[in-house]
Amino acid sequence: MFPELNNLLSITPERTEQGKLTLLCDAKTDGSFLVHHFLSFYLKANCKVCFVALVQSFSHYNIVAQKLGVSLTAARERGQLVFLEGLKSAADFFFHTQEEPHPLRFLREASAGNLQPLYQFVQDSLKPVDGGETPWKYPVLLVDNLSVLLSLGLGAVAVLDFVQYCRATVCCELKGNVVALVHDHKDAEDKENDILLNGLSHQSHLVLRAEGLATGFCKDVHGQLRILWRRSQPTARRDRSLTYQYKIQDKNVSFFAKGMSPAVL
Amino acid sequence: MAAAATCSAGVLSSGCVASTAGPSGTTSFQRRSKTSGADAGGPRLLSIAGTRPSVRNGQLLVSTGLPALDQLLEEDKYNIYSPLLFKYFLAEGIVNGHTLLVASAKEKPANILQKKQKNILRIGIQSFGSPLWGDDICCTENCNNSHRLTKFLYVLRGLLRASLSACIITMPTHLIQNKAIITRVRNLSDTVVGLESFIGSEKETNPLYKDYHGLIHIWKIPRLNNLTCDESDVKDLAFKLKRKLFTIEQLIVNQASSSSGRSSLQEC
Repeated sequence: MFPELNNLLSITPERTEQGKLTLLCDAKTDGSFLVHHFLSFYLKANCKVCFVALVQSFSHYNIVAQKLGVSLTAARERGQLVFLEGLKSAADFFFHTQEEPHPLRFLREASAGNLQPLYQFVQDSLKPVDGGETPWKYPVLLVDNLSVLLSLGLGAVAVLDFVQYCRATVCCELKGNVVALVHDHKDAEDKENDILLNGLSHQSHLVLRAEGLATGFCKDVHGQLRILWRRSQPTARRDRSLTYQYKIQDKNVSFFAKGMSPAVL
Repeated sequence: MAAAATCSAGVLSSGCVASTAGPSGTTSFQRRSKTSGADAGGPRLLSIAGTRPSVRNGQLLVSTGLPALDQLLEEDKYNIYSPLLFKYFLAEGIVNGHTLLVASAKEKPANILQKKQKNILRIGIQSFGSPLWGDDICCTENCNNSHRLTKFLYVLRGLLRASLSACIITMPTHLIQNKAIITRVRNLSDTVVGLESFIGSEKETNPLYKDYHGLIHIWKIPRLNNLTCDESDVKDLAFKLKRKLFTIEQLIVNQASSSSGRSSLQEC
């Protein structure tokens, strides 16, 4: 996790809000550093994490997590992390017949399918076993990312339904958190993706949006991060928002106010 | 996709300019492969011809045949230059004895070379998405089975991740009506390079570009096993083709020159 980002969000592994949906979004840049942050953050916070990793391999996340002080292999072995490696599962599923229902069964379906098997997988991973007692603080569902599901033949509505079901179980019933990454294809006329993004933005309590700089590439400032806290109650004050710029380094991401990059000062 | 050369475009030196698979049969990795023989106690994978471990994270790399990163090429109009880069990638494989799998709806694909133990498979797919493959994404804006293409890429990427292989795909993006697909395909790829040829455009007669045949845009490079990636500062790259030699250079415009707009070009 990145300590500076924790400070900006006013959270620590010991003290976080529960029952929340956090939306990670990237526009014209790579927002995966946010996924790495939350993965290591919730593992350090002693939460049970179900990570639906659809775009990269396990070893990729593991190597980066180790730089951030967490071992995914160890977390998986002690039962704290349930990892669905999408790329590997998809290839296995396509070429070997599976007996039991597979979370990515929609890949075989010719017409638009639904994500119920995937939701079932999430539910089975995070619901405490009969007996109730669990060593983990609360469950967390992390998805990297939801936009790729649209490329796999699902409609935006099916993905929104999936998120709705997950929120009902993970956030409301189990008092855990859901964190998901969605790309923003602003200029690409991708209607399905826009529907997904808009729908999720309205449901989220916290939106973190990484954007490339409007002025183009810069070696010392890799982008800017907009943080939006949404108030769920209608009587609450308006949503609070902050914008920072960031630079990604080998083991950390540093944040600073706009125009205050150390390279400039 | 599993492996690609990580030398960023800005690191091109005149020594790294692509060599054709000439009579000497040298790999483009020749100048950089000092690491392969050095470690006697190194990992087994070092023994595969034409590979070297990345100095950044130990990941196994293959050369594309050109020092530029190529995994997804957006085809230039009239498809003149992209088959060349496609062939460079495959030629590099032939030189190193890698196994090749070529898929093309335009010409008969080459046969798979003899199998070897612990070898690299190079896959080449030409004109992905063109009408010749029977897809309609070039014909209509709202196509019903656009996800077949992206689903294929996704599963292919899964296979590549689990094997010692690298894949290059060329795509005629100027023909594709549905813009959303281009963005989705880019997101599904590890590396994206665009070729913009000057033929048929107003740039062909622009004196600024007279020594070049087109521009190269590096849209995306892999960020694998790392938070950071080797993004180069150089963003203006142009290419030219002299007989069989394909070179990529940084384009610099010299403002202080005469009104004819001569540009000074720096070989990088």
